Amino acid sequence: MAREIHNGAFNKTAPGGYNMRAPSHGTAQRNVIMAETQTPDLLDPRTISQAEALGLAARFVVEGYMAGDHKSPFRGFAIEFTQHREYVPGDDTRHLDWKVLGRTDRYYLKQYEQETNFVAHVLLDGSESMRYGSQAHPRLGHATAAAKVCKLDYAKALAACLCYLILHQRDAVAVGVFDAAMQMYLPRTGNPQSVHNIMRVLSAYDPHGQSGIGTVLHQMAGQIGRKGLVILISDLLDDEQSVLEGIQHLRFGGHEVILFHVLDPFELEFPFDGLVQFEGLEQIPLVQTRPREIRKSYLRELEGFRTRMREGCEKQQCHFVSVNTAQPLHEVLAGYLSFRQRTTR
Amino acid sequence: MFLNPIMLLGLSALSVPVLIHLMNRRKFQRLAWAAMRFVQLSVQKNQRRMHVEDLLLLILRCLLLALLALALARPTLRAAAGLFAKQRVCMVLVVDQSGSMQAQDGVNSRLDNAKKAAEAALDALPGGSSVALLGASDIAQGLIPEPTADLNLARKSVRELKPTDRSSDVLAALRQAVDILSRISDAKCEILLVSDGQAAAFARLEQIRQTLREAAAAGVQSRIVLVGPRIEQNLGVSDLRLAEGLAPINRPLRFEAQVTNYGTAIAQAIRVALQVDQDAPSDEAIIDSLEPGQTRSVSCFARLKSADYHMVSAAVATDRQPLDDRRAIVVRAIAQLKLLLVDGDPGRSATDAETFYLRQALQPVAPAQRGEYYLQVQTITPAELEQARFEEFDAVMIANVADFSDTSLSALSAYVRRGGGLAIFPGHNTQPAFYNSKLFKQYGLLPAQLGAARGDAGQEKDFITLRAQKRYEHPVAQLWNDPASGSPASAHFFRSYELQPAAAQGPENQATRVLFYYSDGKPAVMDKSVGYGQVVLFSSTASARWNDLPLRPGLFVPLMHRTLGSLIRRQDEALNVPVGQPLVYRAAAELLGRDVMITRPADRQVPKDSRKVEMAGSQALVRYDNTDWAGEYEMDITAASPLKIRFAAQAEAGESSLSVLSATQRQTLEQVAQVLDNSEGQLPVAKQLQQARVGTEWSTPLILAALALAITESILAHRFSQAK
Repeated sequence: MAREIHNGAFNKTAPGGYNMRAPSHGTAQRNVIMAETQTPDLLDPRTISQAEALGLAARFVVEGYMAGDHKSPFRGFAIEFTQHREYVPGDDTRHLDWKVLGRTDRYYLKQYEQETNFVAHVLLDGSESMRYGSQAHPRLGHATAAAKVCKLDYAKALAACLCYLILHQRDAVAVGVFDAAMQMYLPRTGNPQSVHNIMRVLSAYDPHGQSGIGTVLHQMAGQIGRKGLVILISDLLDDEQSVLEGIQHLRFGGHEVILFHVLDPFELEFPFDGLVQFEGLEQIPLVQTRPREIRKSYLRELEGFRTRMREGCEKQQCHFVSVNTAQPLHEVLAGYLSFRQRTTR
Repeated sequence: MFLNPIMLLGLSALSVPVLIHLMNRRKFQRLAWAAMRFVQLSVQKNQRRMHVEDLLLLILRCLLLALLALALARPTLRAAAGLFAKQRVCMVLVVDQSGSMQAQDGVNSRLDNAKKAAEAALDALPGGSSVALLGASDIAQGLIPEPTADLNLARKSVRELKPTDRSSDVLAALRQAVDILSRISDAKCEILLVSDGQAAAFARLEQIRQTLREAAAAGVQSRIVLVGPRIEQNLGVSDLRLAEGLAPINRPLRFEAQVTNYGTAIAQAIRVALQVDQDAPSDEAIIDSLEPGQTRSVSCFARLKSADYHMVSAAVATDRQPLDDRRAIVVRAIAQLKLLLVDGDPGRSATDAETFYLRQALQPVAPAQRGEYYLQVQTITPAELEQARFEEFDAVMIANVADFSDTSLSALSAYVRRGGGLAIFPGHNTQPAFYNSKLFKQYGLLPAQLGAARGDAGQEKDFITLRAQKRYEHPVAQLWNDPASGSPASAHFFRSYELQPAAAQGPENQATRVLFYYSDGKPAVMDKSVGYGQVVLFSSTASARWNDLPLRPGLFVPLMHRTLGSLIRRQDEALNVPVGQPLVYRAAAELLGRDVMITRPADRQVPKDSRKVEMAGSQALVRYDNTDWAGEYEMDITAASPLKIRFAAQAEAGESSLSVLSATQRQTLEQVAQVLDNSEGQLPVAKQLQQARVGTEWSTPLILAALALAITESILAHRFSQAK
């Protein structure tokens, strides 16, 4: 495959683990170091190294516009022969296999598998609910390890890593952060350098509004022309139906959709005790209750929700990835990518 | 009714769970939360259930506190008394002190158990109560005669209770208790009788019931605690007496010891030991076997060494009832007795004399030895009466004397009243009219008037005999209770005077007794206590003129000796008293005002007591009442020549009986008193009393219920707080 060169670059690690700050070989590495001085570093070196090895390939045929634009900076990134086909009038004669014609006097065309790049749209849910993170209330937590960051920060890092990954496999990426509507949109770019810009913009984003995932997805489905990859990172705390419809719309447009469902461990396990007043992050009225007594019910509801979402996604052949923010990012990403690699082949 | 009503204030703690609930609502954690819809959904679904659970827990907690408060307030079943009923109790504690309370099981005596029960009863008294303490035996002994609030004093008095050898009768003490309580108005009145439930103690059951019923009507609650141990076997010396009429020194004297088996099993090989003073046992008798309830007399012999007071005691082996294992009497041994015979018909020869047989009987030795015999007899004629100095003689016997001069009669009367003995035999010379008017009416010496003379002395066919009795009551006649002694009914009486006792039952007549009856039911021999002396009146002659009694020496000699003994012993009668009776010693006038030290039975470890010789009427007397114990008492009168008199007190034989209240008797008692039978020592008396006093306490079940509630609450709370 075409990503092997990056493997080599990143496998040259210093003994004792990764040290992104040490001078090293390869442009990508240098770029990261440069970015660190200027922009908040959303990239986890370990995540990057593991994820890069695995790569992110589109599962469906996508329309890459750069086909043949640049010749093989990567070996194997070329037109590869796949099969012969009989000529029918109207075919471009450029592709006639002359050697076959000379030998057999038959007209055959050579067919090649075209490798193309894709545009990945990374859509990050920036609604207020994403601001929740269990590190904010250590007193409440007990059995469960609290996540170190809030969901949004985790999602940002995830998005940044994905962008980096995509850019560095010479695919293009567009990043959008939305709540009820698209709040911020970085248009498509194929330049690996722009990862810094992406990170800066992501870092600067501060969530406030309510979420309207469905609307945004519909909107995106209308906007994106070429078939590509849509990566949605969200806690999906919105109307299920509209979310699923939005995904359906995207799929209808031929896009591959990957859904990273980001939840805090506390949201997953609800480990609270005593009398708690829950204050909704998105203008939802207060609820005062003893969480311990409704824990099972809560978990049932949550599980039901996740199952419905997963099933909805699977029905539309899109990957649904549950992400617990207590899990290290590299595990999540590497886990998903290796799964993806297996299923794509 | 609550024993601790103040604790009901604890019911206000009911507000605590409510307050905690309300306060907890203000104490919550705020939490900014993203996944609100699941929380909202869950809350919506669980709202109702959580409310119900909350309410249930609140109710449980309130109930728990209410139960605890109630339990601490110590509610009792008896609800009628109200919240602030009078709590103070005035209790008269009557402790049976009779001899039967000495019965023991080897460790504790009944009295020990009674003391424990009494102390427990004192402990169970509510605060502010007062107690009077009475010891019950045949009398009521006011140990704390008026109620005192000093319970420590009462406890001390209870602990210091000593057993007595008195007989049982709780009636007197109960009456006194009722009397004490009749003066109490400001407290609940209670009588608590602690007794062994010996049937004898409740012999006057009807009166006891009446007394307690009247008390109950006056609001007095009566309770009877019966204490044990019950004993099954008891062998006792039920009687000891000198079988001889007199107790001369250095002669073998026959004592009769009566042993009774009060137990329920046959007793075998019973050794009865007779002991004089502190010497080694002088004689011993063995009874092979004795059926339950059976009594047998054995004879033992002893010699008294000196003319002094001697304590003679008979003992059987010690058993569980020590009261009757030994019985002691005091006998005054005499070295010599002087007797004056007045012969109203000396006859022509000595054998013809009216007093011939009498003299022969009283001095049954050869004429040569008469000088050494302890009985010295002087015979005079009626004419010599006026010169006679009665004071020199221990007894005077008058036979067939027609009448007396006023001088001699008044001297005789004075002699008798000071303690002399007089026996009168009528005869053909006797003038009944004179006897009746002077001796009977004027001087009051005779126990009966002489009526018409019956029968004919000139023939031998028509006669009357003495009535044979199964049991003779009079000490003189008691010898013939033993068939081996022959029967008085063998003598033939051809002629006799009819003895006519005074019809009226005056105080005088109480001193009159009949020794023998004729077979037709008329009295044959009577006696009478006159002053400190004794008079015996026969209805027939002392000679063989009117009867053949003198011709039967087997009958006549002991009869005369015993008669003489009874005349003499009248003086010594006071030496042996039943337990509880006063000891009386008639001292010479010159001893008046002297100090008297009284030594009480040595085995009782009680200190000596002191009295003075005092004047009672015209007689100098020492009187000592405190004879609670059987055994020897000694009076030491300090004088120029110290005088030592010994007495003995004997426990009543009935006190040895093991019979207890029958079921019917107990039922009768239960009509008027609450009977707590603790004879097996199984009841916690204090608790029972408390329970009886205040009803069943409900604290424990309430606390248990509260505990159960607490457990339920915990389980439910845990369950409810489980994630659902």
